Amino acid sequence: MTGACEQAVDHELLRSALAGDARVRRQLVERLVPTVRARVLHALLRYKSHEQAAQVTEDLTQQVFLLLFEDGGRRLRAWTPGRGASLATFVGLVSEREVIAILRRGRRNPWTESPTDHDELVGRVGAGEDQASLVERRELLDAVLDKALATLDERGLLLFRRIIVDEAPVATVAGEMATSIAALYMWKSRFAKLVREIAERLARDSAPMPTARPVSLLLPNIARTR
Amino acid sequence: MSDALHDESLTKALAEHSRARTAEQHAIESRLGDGAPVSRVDAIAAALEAQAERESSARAASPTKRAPRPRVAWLAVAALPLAAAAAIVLVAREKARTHTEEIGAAEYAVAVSGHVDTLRAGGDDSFASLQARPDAIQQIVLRPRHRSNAVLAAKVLVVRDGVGVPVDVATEISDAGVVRFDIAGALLIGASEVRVAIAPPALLAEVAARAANEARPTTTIRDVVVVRVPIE
Repeated sequence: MTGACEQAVDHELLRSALAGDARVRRQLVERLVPTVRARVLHALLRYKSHEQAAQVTEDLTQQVFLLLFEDGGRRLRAWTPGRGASLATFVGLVSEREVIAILRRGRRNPWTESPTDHDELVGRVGAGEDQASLVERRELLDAVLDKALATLDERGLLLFRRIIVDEAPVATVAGEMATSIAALYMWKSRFAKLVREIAERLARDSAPMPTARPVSLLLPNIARTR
Repeated sequence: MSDALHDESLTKALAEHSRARTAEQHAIESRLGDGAPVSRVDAIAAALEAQAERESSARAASPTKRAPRPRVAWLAVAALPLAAAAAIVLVAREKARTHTEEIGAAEYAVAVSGHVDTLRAGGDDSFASLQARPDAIQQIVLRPRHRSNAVLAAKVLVVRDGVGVPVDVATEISDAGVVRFDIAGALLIGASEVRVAIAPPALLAEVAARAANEARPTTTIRDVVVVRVPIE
């Protein structure tokens, strides 16, 4: 099936599922479960050991599905075929944002109460370089990315994916999203400002910790002042 | 090094990190395989079914949704007031329009920032009006007085000689109904005001079309508003 054809089928499936067709809704769940589970497991592995993550993945996957279909499927309704992302890609983006939000919500979060074993954490980064520095840099980028994603609405997530991650030409994305090139440049500028502010905030927050490395050493050019 | 390059390097680092994250997610997805246990899919489908029923019940119980009345009762209760209302509307039409417009405007608080050139360091001051400066990008934030539970969309129009023309600016709307967008000062040259039509997506095209010619909501339906932002 071609991409356009697949998206048309997905659109019809989504429309029927959100209109209340229980059979189609189940079909859609079956189709999207692998995508959502992978996002959930990936996010959990940042906080828990593999064994611990596996134990809660299914429950958290269900919780993400409930959020996706909440309020008459408000989040899912933001997807339209032909806007540079398949339904699975879009659901992956939204699921990632939602699972991050769940994991960060509240200080006594049942999903993150046990810390990841240090050896396992280091093992994920690999050997050869200054491992502590790599781990810290990765954690910082994770934190900036998580906070940035949390602020984006569904359209913003698509723009992030297409313009920033895929590095698609702005003119192409403007055509996909039925908007102007100027509007997208403004969005891009605002996004750059947003991530800079997040990075600066993280730099300020990490400053009082005597053992923490300055953010500027880990991510050069981030922790400047205006 | 310029500010733009600082931002560029951070954005590129994030893009690279995001691509790496996506690759890891795809690797996990491949490892997990396509199929999920039927029992898990069934459990999720059942939970979604229950959620849909709860939402449906909540909508039915909502005070905005009234139970259907018997036909005779409806005539007795509604026909007389309707007839009276129609007569009053004919007499007080203009007054009612003005009043509706004021209600619409009062529903939202307007905050405009970026009156100065964005390349310079600006303060945090916000204003209730826009400036037609070709070198400025201004951000408009419309905050509703009351949280809206409806799904909303917005369309921006620039008014010249009394006629609003839709402009293609990206708007963001939060769950609470806060509308935010940036607009280039160059778009405002020669214009008198900006109108922002806010309505549920199904009504937006109609509301925006009406707002192009008249600065008031087309209906008094809840969540349908046209907010006016003057240009200095």
